Amino acid sequence: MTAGRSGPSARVVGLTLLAVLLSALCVVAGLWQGSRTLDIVEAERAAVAAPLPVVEAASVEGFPATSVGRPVTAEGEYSDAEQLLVAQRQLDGRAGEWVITPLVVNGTTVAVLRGWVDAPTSPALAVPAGPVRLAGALQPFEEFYAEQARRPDGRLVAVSREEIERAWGTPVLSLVLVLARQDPAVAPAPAPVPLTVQTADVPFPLQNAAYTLQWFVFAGFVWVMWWLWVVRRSPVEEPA
Amino acid sequence: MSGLSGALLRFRIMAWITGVLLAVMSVIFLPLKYGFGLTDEGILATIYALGWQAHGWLYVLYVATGLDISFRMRFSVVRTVAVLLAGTIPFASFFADHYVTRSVRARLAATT
Repeated sequence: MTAGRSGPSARVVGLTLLAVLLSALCVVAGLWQGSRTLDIVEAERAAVAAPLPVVEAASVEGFPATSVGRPVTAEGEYSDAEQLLVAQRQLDGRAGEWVITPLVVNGTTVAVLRGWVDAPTSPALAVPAGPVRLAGALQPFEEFYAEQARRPDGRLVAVSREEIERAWGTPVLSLVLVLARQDPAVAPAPAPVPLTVQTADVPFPLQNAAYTLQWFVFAGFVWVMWWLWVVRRSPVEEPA
Repeated sequence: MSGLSGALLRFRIMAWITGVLLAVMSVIFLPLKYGFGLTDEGILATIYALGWQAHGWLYVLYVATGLDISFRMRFSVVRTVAVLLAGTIPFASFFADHYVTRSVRARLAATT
């Protein structure tokens, strides 16, 4: 090989630098879309983490997906409709029952899971009278044991919306309010129960996530093209 | 030369699908969203999301088929990049398709 032919040509150097530049731009754009994706999810989570009045988060007719697990507040009065017990619910390994009490908020009946008691004779079962302010989170009703949701002794087997509405004779809000704090507080009170659904569901920005991946794919395409045009040149055979 | 015909067919299919989708999205749905402010309609929101999602992934396939046909045709780097970028500009992919098809037909005619 002669001295003049050794080393890469100006074309190879130029195209390689161009490929480095273009693929770097693609990676930067991909990282930017990736951080946007995370920012959007974070903003959506922050928006649903702020407490909302319960009747704005859900209605009797239904609820948006973002309201499941959503922190809410409620101002109203417990009604004198029958307080219901859900049988065989443990708290920290101790046997007991859940307490479901109807709260009327602006004319809408809300099923409030006030908490857990160890026995059906517990003094904590006394229903507070007068206006109360509640803070808690919304959870879905339970849908198992629907065909035998109420036992002969009157206890519920599951937090069944159908059975609760039948017992109270009124439609209820489409989500259960799991009580965390009550103002004014009462003592003794049922022990608060942990949430089964922890965080509200927020829509994932699929489009931004897809753009993130696509930018990385394009960075790859830059190097495919570099390899084809710089290393392999062309596969089309010269006409014989 | 059957490889060249196949590559052309693949590129043309992607150029038309990508081009028609991009034209529909930018001529009909972009004005609806940003011109008339129709953002909250359920079905429209779904079309916006699905349409741009689909265009993103279809464009990836367009680039793959565009690279293939351009390499087989020994297009220059500039020509190739022009063909690839045509998939992102409304209606440009139809011109790219026209140009590539004419070039391939001329090549095929010259070699037979």
